[in-house]
Amino acid sequence: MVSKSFTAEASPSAPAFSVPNPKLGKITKIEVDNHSTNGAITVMFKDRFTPDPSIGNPSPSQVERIRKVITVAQGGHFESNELEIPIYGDCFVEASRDDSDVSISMEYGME
Amino acid sequence: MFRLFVEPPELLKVGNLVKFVGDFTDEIKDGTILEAKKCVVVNFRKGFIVPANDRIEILLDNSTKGLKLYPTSTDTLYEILLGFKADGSFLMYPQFPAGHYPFRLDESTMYPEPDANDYRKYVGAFKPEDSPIDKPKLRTYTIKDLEPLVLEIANEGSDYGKLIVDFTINKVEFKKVPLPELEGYELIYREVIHPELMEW
Repeated sequence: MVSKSFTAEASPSAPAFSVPNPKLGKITKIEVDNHSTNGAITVMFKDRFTPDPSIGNPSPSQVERIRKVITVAQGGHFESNELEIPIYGDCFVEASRDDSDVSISMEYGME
Repeated sequence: MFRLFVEPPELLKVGNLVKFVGDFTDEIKDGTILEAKKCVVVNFRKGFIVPANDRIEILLDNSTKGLKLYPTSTDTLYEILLGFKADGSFLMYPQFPAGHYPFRLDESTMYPEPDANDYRKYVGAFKPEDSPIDKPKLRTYTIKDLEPLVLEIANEGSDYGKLIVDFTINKVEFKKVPLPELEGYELIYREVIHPELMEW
């Protein structure tokens, strides 16, 4: 498992991690600490990928799936272990605002 | 053609004899017996993301859209084991030749129909758990100029699903065995049956 920590960003320019084509990614743990004085914050874990050409859609474009949404009250703490949140492509962690007083950490693996 | 085993099948080894059943190419006719003189295992893995209630076709041949898992030499055979790992609910339908589903039963309605909304969707379909990635039980062979082998993948789930396909490719180079050399021996050989002859 790989651990990663960062602060809340509304529009991160790079994914938190990317899953290679022949792998399945899984987020196994999420922690959010809201030490901010700016109120509650919402954090979304998004998966961006391009599906393979299919019979129904021979020319697919990139799609996005919201895999998990967490809202943490001001001063609050969220922690969840033993998760199995699938990620197929690029995992973006987007918050409802930029806030350096909100820390997010996650663990993920690839199979 | 694809064949599903109860246990992972053994790969061909140097010295094994192979008897071809059916006419494969101008050089490999029905009854041809060849001996494996070189075997090398090459692994390959690819992921496929399939939309909900949709299907994709995986071609194994060397065409532009194919995975290029066919030998380019007439004295080589690829013995391929396929193992799967899935996030989602998938059904897989072998085709040979393209567009034809050979796995069917005798009764006239018992043939695979992947886009049907009834029991025919489940006739002749493999599931990823039939041949897991760490214990592959699905085997096929490819030979130069053989028509494309196709594996049609249907996502039965309500959202996108990802299927990882692991290919264990045993590159087998043959030498011809003159028949006089085989006389007097009890021949133990692996039959490689032409895909068209596996349907009955």
